[in-house]
Amino acid sequence: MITLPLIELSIGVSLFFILLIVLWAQMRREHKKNQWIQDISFAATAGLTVEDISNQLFTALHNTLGVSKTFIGVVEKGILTHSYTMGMEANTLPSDVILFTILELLDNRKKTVFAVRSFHHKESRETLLAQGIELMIPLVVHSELAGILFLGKKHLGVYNKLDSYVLQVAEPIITVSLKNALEFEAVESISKSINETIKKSQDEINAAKVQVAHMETSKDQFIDIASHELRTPITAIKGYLWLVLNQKKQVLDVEVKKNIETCYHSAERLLRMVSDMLTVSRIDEKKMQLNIQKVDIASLLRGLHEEMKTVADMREIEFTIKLVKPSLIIMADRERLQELFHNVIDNAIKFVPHRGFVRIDLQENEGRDISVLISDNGPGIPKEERQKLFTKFGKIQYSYDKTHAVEGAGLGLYISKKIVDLHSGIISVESEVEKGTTFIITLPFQPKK
Amino acid sequence: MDQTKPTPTMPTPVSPAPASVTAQKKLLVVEDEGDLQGLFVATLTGAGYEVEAAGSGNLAYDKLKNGSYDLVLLDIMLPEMDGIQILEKLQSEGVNIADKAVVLLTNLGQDTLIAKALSLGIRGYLVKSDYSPEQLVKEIQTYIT
Repeated sequence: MITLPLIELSIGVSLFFILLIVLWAQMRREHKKNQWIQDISFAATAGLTVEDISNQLFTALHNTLGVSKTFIGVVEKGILTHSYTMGMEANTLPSDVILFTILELLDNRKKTVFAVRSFHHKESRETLLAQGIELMIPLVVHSELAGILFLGKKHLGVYNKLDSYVLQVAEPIITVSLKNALEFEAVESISKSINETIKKSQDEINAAKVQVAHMETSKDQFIDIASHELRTPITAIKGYLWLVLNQKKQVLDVEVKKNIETCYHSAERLLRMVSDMLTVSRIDEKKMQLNIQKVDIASLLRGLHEEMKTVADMREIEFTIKLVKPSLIIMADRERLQELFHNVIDNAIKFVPHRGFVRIDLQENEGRDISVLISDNGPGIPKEERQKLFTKFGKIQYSYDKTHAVEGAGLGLYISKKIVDLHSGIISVESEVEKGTTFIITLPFQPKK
Repeated sequence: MDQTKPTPTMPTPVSPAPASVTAQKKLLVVEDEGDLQGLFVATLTGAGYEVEAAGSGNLAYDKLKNGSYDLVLLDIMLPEMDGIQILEKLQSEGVNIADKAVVLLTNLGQDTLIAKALSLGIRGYLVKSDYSPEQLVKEIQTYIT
């Protein structure tokens, strides 16, 4: 016989245990819930890109809630831009269906988790259900739809309140992760695009450089070939004209002789210009090499003086030469020096007025170097024109107006300067308008190597 | 006409060297450019020399190898074999280039080739377009006498 107090005690104890069990179950449930939320949140924040997040999130949802498939769509300004699917084939959800769904969601953002079967839009609902999609979670940032998460049916059972709660809590974390990933991807894409732009610009610059170099080479080759091809026939013309002028079989009519002489001098001029152009192209290509040998500069200048005196005499120019020594040896390229002094003296004779003077003066500077001064009492060169003197095509206007049209392309002094440079020398000019000009060419005994 | 314009000098005719000196002097002109070859031949013949001409590398090689000349004017750019190749071939066959009295005919800007030819033993070189017939004859005389 069981007494009443004993029964009461039994009931009390039982109730106590039941309560304990309920409490324990409650605690376990609470623990599981928190664990799931934590797992899902952790998965959502573990990835840098949307694809990473999609992978991690699917694994977490699969392991916690038993989700069979997921679909994450990225939404920009109400349009689905790209999507990531797990557990289902990509692009199996027609975009217009999804678009309808999104539009429906935009009108009702207060809810967090939507059951597909409660969708108003019939076609969307049926398409999604046919794909095994049961839940939809809009991912909203600052009241703007940033993405959309579809969940397929569970492996076991149906979605319950616990699942719904877990998803509601996890949604903001998933949304923020998605937004961060999108921003990260945007920055990545900008950085990639900047890098691509820089690379492209670099490629374009390099291509342009190659093209410019190619054009330079073509130009130089053209000048080179043109000069050679021009020189041969001009040399022939000049030579044959000379033969005609100097033949002894018959006496030439005075007028004919004069005309042929004009042809001869024009051919000579033309040849000089072509030669100058070729020389300049070789200087610019740095192809000009000096043939350094012992040169008696005094004798070289004496020869030039003798050669050019005929022209000076014809114009009644007082053309004199003063040499510090009858012989003065330096190491230089004889032909280039000949060209250099010829250019400078020729200019002086051209520009000096009728009955003016041109003087050549060779000096030796304490055994260091030598200087050749070529002075005239010509029109002089104004200061502002002087800097143009040694440039390419730098013919100076002043001389034309004062005297006469001067032959040549304006390359003579440019070439002269380059020849002096190659000999490690210095060429300078002192001039006074209406008084005259002095060119001073200083050359070392031995050019620097 | 502009009175201030300088009148360039006309070259004066070259007097042929006395017959007794040049009677036996024999020159070879190697130049493929017909007009120039004609000019050199006319000029040098006019100056009293006996002149032979060749316009191709092979002919020039044959003449140089088998002939005997007081001076040979040798162009660089030639069909078949260029001037430098001719010299190299002769040298490889044991010919002393210095004995052949070769003066190279060049254009402007052939410094490297000139240096090469000088090392092979040529007497000198002259830039074709730099010389009027008169100057050419004077230059030739410096090599022969």
